Formats: sequence, C-alpha cells, structure tokens
Amino acid sequence: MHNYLSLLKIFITEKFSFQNRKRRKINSGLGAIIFFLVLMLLVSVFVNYGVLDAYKRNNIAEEYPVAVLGIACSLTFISALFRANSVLFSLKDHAFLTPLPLKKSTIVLVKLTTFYLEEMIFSLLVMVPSIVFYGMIDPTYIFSGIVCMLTVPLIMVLLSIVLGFIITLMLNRFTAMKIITTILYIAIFTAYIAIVFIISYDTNGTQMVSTFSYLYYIFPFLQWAYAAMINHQFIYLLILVALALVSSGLLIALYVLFYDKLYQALFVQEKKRLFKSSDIKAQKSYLSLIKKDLFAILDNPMLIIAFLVGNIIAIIIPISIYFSSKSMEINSEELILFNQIMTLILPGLIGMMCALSNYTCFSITLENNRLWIVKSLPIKSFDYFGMKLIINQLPGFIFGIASGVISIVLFKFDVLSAISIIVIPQLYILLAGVFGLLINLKFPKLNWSTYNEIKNSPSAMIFSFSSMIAAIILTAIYFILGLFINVIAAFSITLVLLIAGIIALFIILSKKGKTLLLQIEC
Amino acid sequence: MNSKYYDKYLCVTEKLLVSCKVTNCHDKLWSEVKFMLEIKNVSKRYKGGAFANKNITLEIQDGEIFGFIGPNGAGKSTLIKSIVGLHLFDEGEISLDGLTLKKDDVEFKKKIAYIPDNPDLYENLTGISYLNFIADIFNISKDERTQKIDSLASKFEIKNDLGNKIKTYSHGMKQKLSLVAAFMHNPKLLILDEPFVGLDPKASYIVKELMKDYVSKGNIIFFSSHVLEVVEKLCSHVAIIKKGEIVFNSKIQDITNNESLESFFLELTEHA
Ligand SMILES: Nc1ncnc2c1ncn2[C@@H]1O[C@H](COP(=O)(O)OP(=O)(O)OP(=O)(O)O)[C@@H](O)[C@H]1O
Ligand SMILES: [Mg+2]
Repeated sequence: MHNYLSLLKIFITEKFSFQNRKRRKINSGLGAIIFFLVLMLLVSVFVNYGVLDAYKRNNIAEEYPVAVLGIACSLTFISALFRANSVLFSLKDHAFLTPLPLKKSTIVLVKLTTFYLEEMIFSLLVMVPSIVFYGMIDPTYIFSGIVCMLTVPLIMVLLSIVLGFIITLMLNRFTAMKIITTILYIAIFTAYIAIVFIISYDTNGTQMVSTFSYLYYIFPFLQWAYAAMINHQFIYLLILVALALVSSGLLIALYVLFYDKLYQALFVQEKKRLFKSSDIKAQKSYLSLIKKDLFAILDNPMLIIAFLVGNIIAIIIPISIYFSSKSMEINSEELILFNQIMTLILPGLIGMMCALSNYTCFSITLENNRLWIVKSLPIKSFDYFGMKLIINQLPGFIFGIASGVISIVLFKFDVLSAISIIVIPQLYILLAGVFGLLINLKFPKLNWSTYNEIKNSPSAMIFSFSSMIAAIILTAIYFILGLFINVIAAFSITLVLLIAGIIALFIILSKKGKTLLLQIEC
Repeated sequence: MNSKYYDKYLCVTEKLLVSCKVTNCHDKLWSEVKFMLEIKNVSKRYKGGAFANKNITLEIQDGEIFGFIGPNGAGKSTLIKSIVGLHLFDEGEISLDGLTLKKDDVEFKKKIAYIPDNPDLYENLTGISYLNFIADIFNISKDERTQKIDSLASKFEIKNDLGNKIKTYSHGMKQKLSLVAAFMHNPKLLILDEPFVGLDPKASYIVKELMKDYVSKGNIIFFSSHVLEVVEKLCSHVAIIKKGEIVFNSKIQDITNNESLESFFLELTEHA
C-alpha cells in the first residue's frame, strides 16, 4: 500500500513536470492544466445547455442523458485507445520499474490508476454539467448519472487497453504495421468526427437517436444505463458496478499474470542491415534538416496523427456540413442565405482546424535530449526556425487548399470569397506556426520518454487553446464585417490583421528567438 | 604577432580554397595559419544556482592538446558548453582566431566539433544517415565524405554497423560514431567532454593517436577527463578547475618534472 502510494505520487508528478527556467516545476505545469480544464468545462457547460435545450424543444429530453453518456464514452474510448500505446506499454518505463523491489501488482495498479484518472477527465468534463442540468428535471439522475459516469467510461477504458495492447504488439512486430495502424487510426478518427458532425448538425434530433441506437447494439451496457437513468430501474446500476469491478479485476489479474510475457512480446529486435557505400548521399543542408524532422514525426503513428488530425477535420467539415444541409428541408432562398453564411464562416473554421495540427508548438520539444546536436552545429537560428515553419505549413498547404476548393465547389463561392478561403487559412497557419514556435521556445519539455508527454506538455496545451480563441475571434470579425458591410471589407481587414500579426511575431522571433533557444539548457 | 594580419590572411586563404575547390592541399594550407582559442573572463551561473564558472580566462595556441581536469561538479562541462555555444554565459567573451562566439556564432561553429559526455544521438536514424546529416550541414562533398567515412569508420571498426539504427548501438559505438562525425569536417578546434569513457582499449589508443596526429597539423584539442594518466601523457597544457574557478593553468612539464599529475591534482583539490 505504501509502495503503491509513493509510486502513484511519482507517476502523477512526472505527468505535470516540465522544464521551466524559473524552476517552479510542478506549480506552473499544474497551473496550465487547471486553466485548460476550467476553460474546457466552460465550453462543456455551454454545449450541454444548448443540446438539452434542443432536445427539450423536440420533446425528446429523456434521450439527453444517454446521448451525453454516449459522447463521454466515445471520447474516453478514442482517447484511451490512442494513448494506451505510449502510456501503458512503454518499454522505457518497464526498464526503469522492473529492477525496483516492487510487486508486479503494485506496478500494474499504479499504471492503471493513473491511466484511468487521466481518462476520467473526459467523462467528468462532459457529464458533470449534464448531471447538474438534467438533475434539475429528474433528481434521481444525480445519483444514477454519477454511478454511470464512474462505471461506464471505465469499461470503455478497459476495452481500449486490450485493443491498445494488440495494436502496440502489431506495431512493434511489423514495419508495415506502422503505416497500416496509422491509416487505421486515421480512419477511426475520421469516422468518429464525421458521425459527431452529422449528429450535431441534425436539426430535429431523430437521427441522433438512431445513431445512438447503433451504439446500443455494440455496447449493451448503454441500454442498461438507459434503463437505470430513464426508466429508474436501479437494479441495472448494480449490474453496471458489478460489470466494472469484475472486468477491471479480470484485466488486472491477467496483466499481472502475463506481465513478463507481455513485455517480452513487446520487445523487438531491430533488423540488422549491412552498410553499403551507396548509402553515402549528399544533400543540401536545409533539405537534410527538414528530412531529419520529418523522420522524427513519421517514426510514430501518434505523432503523424497529431500532425494530420486537424487537417483531416478541415476536409471533413465542408463535406459534412454540405450533406447535413441536404437533409434539411429548406427552400432555395434559405439555401442562398445558408451558402452565404458558409462563405463567411468557413475560411476561419478551416484555418482553425488546420492550425490545430500545429507542429511548431512541439517541434523544439521533439528534439529531446538531442537538442545539443543542432545547437552546436553551424546552423543560423533563423534557418532552423524557418525549416520548422516550412514543415508546419506543409500539410496545411495541401489539406487547407483542398478543403478550400471543396468548399468553393459545394457552396458556390464568389471570386472574392474563393480567394479568401484559400488565402486566409494559409496565413493563419503561418501565424499560428510562428506563435507555436515562440511558445515552445519559452516552454520546452526536454527529456521526455513517451510521445504522450509531448502532446500533454504545457506549450502544446497553451498553443491549442490560444490558437483556437484567436481563430474564433478572427472568424467572428470576418463574419460580422461580411454580414453587415461586405466581403471586401471583411477580407481586407482580416488580411491586414493577419499580416500585421505575422510581422509582429516574426520581429519577436528574430529578436528573441536565438536567445530563447540558447537559454534552453541541454 | 599582428592578429589583424592573420585575420586577413585567413580570409584570403579561405576564399581561395573555396573558389579553387582545392581539397588536397587543404590541410597543408591551413597548417600555415596560426589559430588561437581565447576564453576571456567567462562567468556562468545557472538560474537559481551558484556560479558554475567564475571569471575563467584561458588562452590556447594552435598545436596544443589542452587537458581540463577537476572534481565532479567543478564546472568542466559548463565551460565546454559555453565554448560550443550550447548556452549563454553571463559575462566574458570566447573567440577563435578573431571570430567571437557572441557575434559570429555560425562562422565560429563551422570551425569546431564537439562531443558531449553523453552521446545522445538521433536513435531512429542509421549511423550512416547521421553522418550524412552532419556532412550535409558542413557542406562536405560526396567524394570527400566517402573517403573520410571509409578511413575513420574502418579505423574504429564500426563500418559494418553504419547501416543499422543508432538505437541498436552500444554506448561505445555511439561514442565512436560521434568521433567519426567530429573528425569528418576537419575542425580547427575539437572539444571533447570525457572522450575516453566507454571506449575499449583499442579505440582509446586510436583516439589518442588521432589526437596527436591532428594537433600536429596546427589544430587545437580541448578536452576534459578524469583519467589523469592519459592527460599526463597526451596533453601539452593542463588547467585544473575547482568550484568554478581555475586554480592551476600551465604547461604539463611544470608539474611532471617534480611529481605525478595525480598527486599534484589531489593536493591541489584537497587544500585551500
Ligand atoms: N542544467 C543545470 N541547471 C542547474 N545547475 C546545473 C546544470 N548543469 C550543471 N549544473 C551545476 O553546475 C555545476 C557544474 O556542473 P558541470 O556539469 O559543469 O560539472 P563537471 O565539472 O562537468 O562535473 P563532472 O565531472 O561530474 O562531469 C554543478 O554544481 C551542477 O550542479
Ligand atoms: Mg561533466
């Protein structure tokens, strides 16, 4: 028990620590995370309120708790599946923990506890506001909702751990698996986002119910949750608790029992390859630098996904909006208005989504304890930064323009709007790229061991939040100007704002960037 | 010696070399130019800590192997990191033949090679792609790098491993790979932080021979070490650092005429 608590403490503090020049290690990391969570909670409150309101207006309020539970479950499932690989089955962790005089069960319990606690954040964020709102309608939901919130996502976490292990195993075994897994992950993610979009754009809610009925077939315990929450058959709560306890007990027992075998299976021997003198190739120095970074990204499916996710969403958004608008019964006049609104919203939205897959905000962190190499080589710091910005712009350039062209065709953009949907996202990605680079230079996290620490690092979090807020403000300006004045004014003012922002950040980068890079101890 | 004169000479020869693309007489021409590493009043303090380097002044002439010794935590790695531009130092200036680190950092770094005490390399690259990367940065032609990699890698017996990923390398193999990378671009100043840790006897012998050969061409080697026997045999000069300050800096003969370096070191670092 004592061992369990001290190891748990190490695991949790490790999660929140990051390099800080002022050496206030734990506090500042925790501060950033709390800030992030509070903002997420606010968003969740608004969304929950809106959804409940829509359900009430359609007289299907009783579907709301299950819908929320379904969203919480799927979020937990996706996140746990994506993270199990690096959090639970990291061999570095294993090498550090195994020689310690700890029981395997302690290690397993600590690992699973931290994992579960982290994954619970999603269901807490999504469900706590719903418990408050729906609890006012049906007080028994306060009890049944809390029980469901604690148990049902746990079952999802357990499921994703099993799947995550299988994926990790395949990943380590076959090089080709890396590509397949990446594609698989991206496919799961795309499908997931598409479903969420179709659901949220559906106006009368019936489709949402029917979509969730598929979920009922796949996960019968959602039906039990329904019975408990809506029909007040509280016996099902007991069943859910029992199911959660039994399945986690079973997983822990299996994990402990096959602990050694499991890690043995995960360990891979690299294939040896003989050196040929044709391997010696000369390249331009900047290409070589770019290649080095691309290799670092392509090495891990999680990073590829982080690198592409926003861009894929950017493609899905106009398509799914288009199809959900098809299912709406609106006349041609309304359709014109709808298209006009889309021309005003999409440039900012696409820019925001592409910029979400930012690379620069973890590009310095990605160097890890090998930062000394580039720092001791004769590379101009501005060339180095420029190369990071190019890599950052690359996917956004392809996906952003593709998404722009799709939008132009689907929503019949006029010439000026067409120019703006191509230009604005690109400029926004550049702006976000320079900003991300500065943030990462300020808050790097070197000496990480799992890729997860990169995505959870303060610089990545601060970046995604500020970038989203900036994009929303920009979209609002564009929308309001476009609606009340005209598109020319909207486009030119947004353009001026973006370019001014880019120039300002570039000036900061050229003045401070080199010093910031030198200040990172490595 | 007029340093301005040498600056000009350096500039002209460099331009000449680049424009003629003469690589054969590269070494010979450079050897006629005098180089000098100057460390002037360098102080470095880590955030929230005491001084790790305090007012350090060292002057190293070409053709010297300079040994830098001191107890653990004395500030050796800290000074070395300042010289190679890994971090900012609070005061002072470091220059290599008129090129100052604070102003002309890129030109400065073109003339140096550095190997840290812990060679963390790009684990997912193969040995050869790492060497290619370094050679690309230094603009080394394909023929030259083929020839260098051939001779150096065979010398260190890692040629057959170059096709493998660095993550499969042992500590010593990584050390050897970074040595190959360091010698590849003919640095004027070679800076090594504890280079003999983890090397097998044969490899350390080769490194020592390479080092001697290298300074005979007018280059400078600056290295820190805890192996005093090696320092005693190899170095022409030695400096001892203690708690961030230089407590001794002189020719090695000044010590070894009377006593062994080891007893001198122990005396010096224990008293005062
Ligand atoms: N990143 C850092 N942040 C804060 N203090 C540091 C950092 N790196 C080193 N120090 C401190 O600076 C002092 C000098 O450290 P340095 O690494 O230069 O010693 P060293 O002479 O190389 O020792 P060793 O022989 O063990 O390699 C030590 O007191 C150390 O605690
Ligand atoms: Mg050291």
